[in-house]
Amino acid sequence: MTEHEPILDTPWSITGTSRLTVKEDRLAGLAAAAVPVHMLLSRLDNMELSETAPATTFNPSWDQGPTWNPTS
Amino acid sequence: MEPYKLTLTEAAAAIKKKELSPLELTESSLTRLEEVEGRIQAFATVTADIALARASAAGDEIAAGHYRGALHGIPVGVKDIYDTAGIRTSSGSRVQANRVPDRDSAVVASLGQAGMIMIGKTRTHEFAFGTTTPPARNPWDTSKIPGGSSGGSGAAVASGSCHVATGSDTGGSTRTPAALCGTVGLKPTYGRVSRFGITPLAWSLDHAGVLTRNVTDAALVLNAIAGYDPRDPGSANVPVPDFTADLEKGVKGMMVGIPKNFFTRNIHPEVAAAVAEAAGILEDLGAEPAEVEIPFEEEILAVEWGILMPEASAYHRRSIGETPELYTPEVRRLLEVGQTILATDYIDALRVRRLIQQAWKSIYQNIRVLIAPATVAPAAPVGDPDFRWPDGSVEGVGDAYVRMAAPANLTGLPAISVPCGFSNAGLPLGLQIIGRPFDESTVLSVARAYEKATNHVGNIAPS
Repeated sequence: MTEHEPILDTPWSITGTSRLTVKEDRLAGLAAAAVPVHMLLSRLDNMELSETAPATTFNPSWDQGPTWNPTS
Repeated sequence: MEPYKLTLTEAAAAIKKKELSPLELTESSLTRLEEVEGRIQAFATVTADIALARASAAGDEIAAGHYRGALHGIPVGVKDIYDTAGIRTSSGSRVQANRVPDRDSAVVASLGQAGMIMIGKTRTHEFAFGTTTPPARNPWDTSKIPGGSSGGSGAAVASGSCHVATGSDTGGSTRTPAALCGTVGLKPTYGRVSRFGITPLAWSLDHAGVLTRNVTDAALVLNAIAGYDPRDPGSANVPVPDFTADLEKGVKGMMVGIPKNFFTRNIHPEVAAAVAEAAGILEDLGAEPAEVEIPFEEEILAVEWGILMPEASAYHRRSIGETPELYTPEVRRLLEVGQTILATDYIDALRVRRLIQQAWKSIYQNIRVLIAPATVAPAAPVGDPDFRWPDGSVEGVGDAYVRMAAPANLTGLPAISVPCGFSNAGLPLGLQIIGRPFDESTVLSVARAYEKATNHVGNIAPS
């Protein structure tokens, strides 16, 4: 796994794509806070996910059905 | 003995026998609250007049022969993200400073039906997005944080102001303050308890939780609040057992997972020692330890934040656009960063979450519960945002406290934090027990077995 530096050189690029309205004096602080988060997220870039679907409607059950017994 | 010092079951027994009235117990709790509140600031709103009126009514009801059960007449604190009809619910934010809901959240309604007496709204980190909960303080050492985001609830229960308080848990917000304040903190399975009327942080990770003085109390409260609710899209329509039924079942012959990675990295040595000692105690009680390798250890935090931050930012997007100045700088910044996360990164996080869930199912084929630290360290000093580890790394307090909690949020598995001793500096430490989906009964029975074998649980912080 490799971690790459996200392209966040220009703070305006962040706010432009996210439609954030941020005054210029706050941009540098926002970029500084965003970089480590995006670096963390980049850990997922090289994962082999093939056909894995997102867990969009999260269901914690391992097996479905009303008769399932978690203690068995 | 002042009534507030009684355990919930002792108080309940006395109320049932009419040796103690709900009014006497509530007055005692409010007196205790007044005694400690100046130091710990656990409450955003104290509802003394309402509490006394409800306690008086509860006493009349019991006197008339209508005793509702063990929670009848017991004081409870409600986290300030739970809607309470006619009572301010600010979510710890100036954004909702004057918000007064017109109906109760599902949990508050259930606790009311069980006869509990709400004495106030406990402080939350702003919109439950943080682990420090200013200005609340840790009752064991007021120079330390109480944890968060349910820090007010942890401080209130630990100091004796109430027997029970509600929490929420998106990245440990029930378990972390429980561990740092020395209370029990239960996060049930995702979907077990309705979140209707609780201000969301991140819908697919949010759980309702409860902080109590001991394990039996947690089971009693879970009995009152568990169940399907179609008003919560994440609510699970599954059978609800009596969670007190198996409390004394013990751990003899039970396979207990002991992690050999992830939960062992960058842990305060006193926490690691306390958890190792707890593992030994469970083994002495007949549990069979099994070493477990935690899957996807490098990805867990990326998936947690990759889901939590964009979901939180989506919820606040319009509000932060309209009144950004009303948010604290810390939470405003987090919400703005969340807005910069790509949809593709969010979807990938959800995909990896599915892999993590499947992998955790595999490791539970051989174990019934897994034990781990509830937090990486005891309570951090107020105002010190970083942990510095022996390997030279520096970790923000938010990341650090979320780290031990995130697996149970991502998988939705039930997890509890149980007090497992004190640091040399006198700060509480927490043992985490994580079970199979919807198997809170086993989680509670393991916690109860540990509780009985030690004297770490049920302590009230001194004045």
